Amino acid sequence: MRSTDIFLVPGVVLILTGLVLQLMPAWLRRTSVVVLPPLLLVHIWNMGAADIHIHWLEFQLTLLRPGSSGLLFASVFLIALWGGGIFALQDASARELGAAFIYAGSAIGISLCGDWLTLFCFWELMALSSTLIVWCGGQKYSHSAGMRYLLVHLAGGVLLLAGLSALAATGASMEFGPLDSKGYAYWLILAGILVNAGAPPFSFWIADAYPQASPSGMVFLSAFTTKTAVFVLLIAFAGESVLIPVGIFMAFYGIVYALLEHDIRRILAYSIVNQVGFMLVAVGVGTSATLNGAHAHAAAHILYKMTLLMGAGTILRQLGSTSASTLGGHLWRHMPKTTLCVGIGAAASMGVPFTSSFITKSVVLTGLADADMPLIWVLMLICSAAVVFNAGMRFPWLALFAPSYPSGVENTPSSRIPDSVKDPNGFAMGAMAASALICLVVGWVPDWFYALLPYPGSYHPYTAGHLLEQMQVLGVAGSIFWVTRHYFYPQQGTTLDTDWFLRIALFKGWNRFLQLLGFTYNRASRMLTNSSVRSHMLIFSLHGPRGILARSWHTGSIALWVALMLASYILVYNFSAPSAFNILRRFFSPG
Amino acid sequence: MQPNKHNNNPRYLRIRVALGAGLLLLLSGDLILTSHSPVHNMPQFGIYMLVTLAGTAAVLGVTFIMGKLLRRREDYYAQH
Repeated sequence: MRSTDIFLVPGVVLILTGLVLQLMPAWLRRTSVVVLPPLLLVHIWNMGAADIHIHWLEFQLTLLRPGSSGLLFASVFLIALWGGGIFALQDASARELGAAFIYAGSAIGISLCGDWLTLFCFWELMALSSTLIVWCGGQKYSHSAGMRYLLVHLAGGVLLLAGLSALAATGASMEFGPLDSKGYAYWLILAGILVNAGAPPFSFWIADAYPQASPSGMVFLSAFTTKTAVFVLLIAFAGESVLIPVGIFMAFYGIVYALLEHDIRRILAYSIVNQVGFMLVAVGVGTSATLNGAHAHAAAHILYKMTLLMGAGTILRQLGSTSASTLGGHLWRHMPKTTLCVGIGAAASMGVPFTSSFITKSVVLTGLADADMPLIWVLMLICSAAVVFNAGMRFPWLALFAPSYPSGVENTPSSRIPDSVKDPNGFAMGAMAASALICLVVGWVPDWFYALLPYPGSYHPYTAGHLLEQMQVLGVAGSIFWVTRHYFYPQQGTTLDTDWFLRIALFKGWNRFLQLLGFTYNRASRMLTNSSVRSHMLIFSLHGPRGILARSWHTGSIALWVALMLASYILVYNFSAPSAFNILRRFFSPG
Repeated sequence: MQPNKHNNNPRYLRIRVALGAGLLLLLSGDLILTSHSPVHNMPQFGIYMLVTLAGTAAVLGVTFIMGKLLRRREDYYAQH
C-alpha cells in the first residue's frame, strides 16, 4: 500500500481530526463537525472492497476490510457522530468534541477493520476517549463515575488482550471473523466483549457513567460502545447460546431498574441495557433472521435513542436538572417542538407502526418464532412490551407531561417554569428534528433499510396480522401504564446494583485489609521489639557490670570450681571410656 | 407511590372506557384476522394480549419487590 492510503481509512481520519480539533479556530471546528461525517459517509459507500494493510512490529494489521455488517454499523455511527456533533455545537467544549471524534473514529475503525489486533487497538482507544467524554460532563459525579467507567473498561480490555494472546499462542488466524474453537481464548475474548456490552455483572456502568456526561456527551456515549460490542458479537459469536440467558437477564434488568429510577437520563441509560439485551438474545439464537434483526435493531436503536437523549439533554440544558421530581409540571407547553421529537423517538422505541423499531423488532420476533423457541419468544415479547414502562411512555410522561408531585399540587401552573425555558434554536433543534425524521423515514420505507442487511431474507412488516399483533401489545401495555402511572412515580433515592461491590464492598474490604496489615505489622513489630529487649536484658544480666559471668571471683572459689570440673571430667571419662580406665586399673593392680 | 385524585373524575373514566373498548376491538380483530399461532404449541387467539398482560404484571411485581429490597436514600453512596 502507499503511505497515503492510511488517510482512506475513515476511522483513522476521524481520530486524526479529533486530535487536532482542539487546536482549530472555532469556525473551522464547526465546519469539520458539520461537513466531515457526511463526506466520510459518502466515502465508505464508494471506496470499494480493497483491503488496506500496514506492517507494524512484525504484524500485518488490516486497517480496512469493509463487509456488509461493518458498512451498516459504520454508516449509522457516522450519522450518530453527525447528529451528536451538531447537537453539541451549542455548548460542548472543544475537548469533548475532539474526544467524540476519536471515540467515533475508533468505533468505525472496529466496524471496518480486518484483524483482531487492529480491533484491540481501536477498542482501547475507544475506552480512553469515551472516558474523556464522561470527564468532560461537568456533572457532580463526572470524575468518580468516569474513573469507575475506566476501571471497568480497562478490565474488559485486559480480558480481551488475554484472549487474543491465547488465540495467537494457539497459532490460530488473527483475522477478525467467527471464532471456531471454544478454548479459553474464545471465552476470554467473549468476556472482554461482553463487558463493553454491559452484560452482568457489569451492567451498572452504563447507568452509572452515561448520565454524568454532558447533554451531548451522552448522545455520543449511547451510540458507540455497546453497539460496537454488539457488532463484534454479531461477527465473531453469532449463535453462541450463552448469549441468550445473558441477553434475557439484561433485558429484564434494564426494565426493572428503569422503573425504579427517577432521573430521566438514567431511565434512558437503563433502557440501553434493556435493548442491548434484546440484541444479544437475537445474536445468541443465531439464525439468519435473528442476526438480520439484531443488525437492524442496533441501527434503529442508535437513531431513536439519539432523539430521546437529545430531548433529555435539551431539558438538562434548559432546567439544569433531569430528576423527574424537580422538573416541574407540563413542560411540553414550553417546548412543543422538543415534545414532538421526543414523542417520535418514544414511539420508535416502543415499535409503534411506521417508526423504525416497528420494522426491526418484528424481524427479531419473527425470527425467534420461526426458530421454534417459544419461551424465548414469550420473554422477548414481554421485553418488547415493557419498553412502554421506560423509554416508551414513562420517560416522556415524567419529562414533559407529568404534574409536579413533590410540591403536593397536581397540574402545577406552567408559570412556575421560567419563561426562558423553550425549545432550542438552530443546530440543536435541527439535529433533534433530523434524528426524529430518520426514525420515521426508516419506518415508512423499510425496504431500502432491509436491503442493507447482511443476510438474505424477505420481510414484510406491514401485514394486517402483524399490525394487529403489535397494536395488541402496545394497547395492553399502554393501558396498564395509563392506569397505573401515578403509582409508579418514583421517589428520590438510589437503587443498589453490583457497583455496590466496587464502591462499597471493595472500598471497605481494602480499608479492612489495610487495617489488618497495620495490626499485623504492629503486633509483629512489638513482638520483635519485646524479644530483642528480653534477649538484650538476659545478656546484660549475665555479662553486664553486675552480671554473674562478669564478676571478679575469689581464688579459693575458682580452685574449688576447677577441682569440681576435673572431678566431673574423670567421672565422665570413666563412664564414656571404660577401656582406658581398665588400662589404668591393670597398671596399678598387684600382680 | 402517589395518590391519584383523578380516579373518580368522569373524564378519566371515559378514557378508561375508551381504552377498554379499543382493546376489545383489537381482540376481536385478532379472532378474525389471525389464522395461526405465532409459535408452535401456543394458542392462536389473544396470545399477544395474554403474554403482554401476564408479563407486564410479573415485571411490575418483580419491580415492587426489588424496590423494597434495594432502594436506598439518594445520598447512600456519599454517606458510605
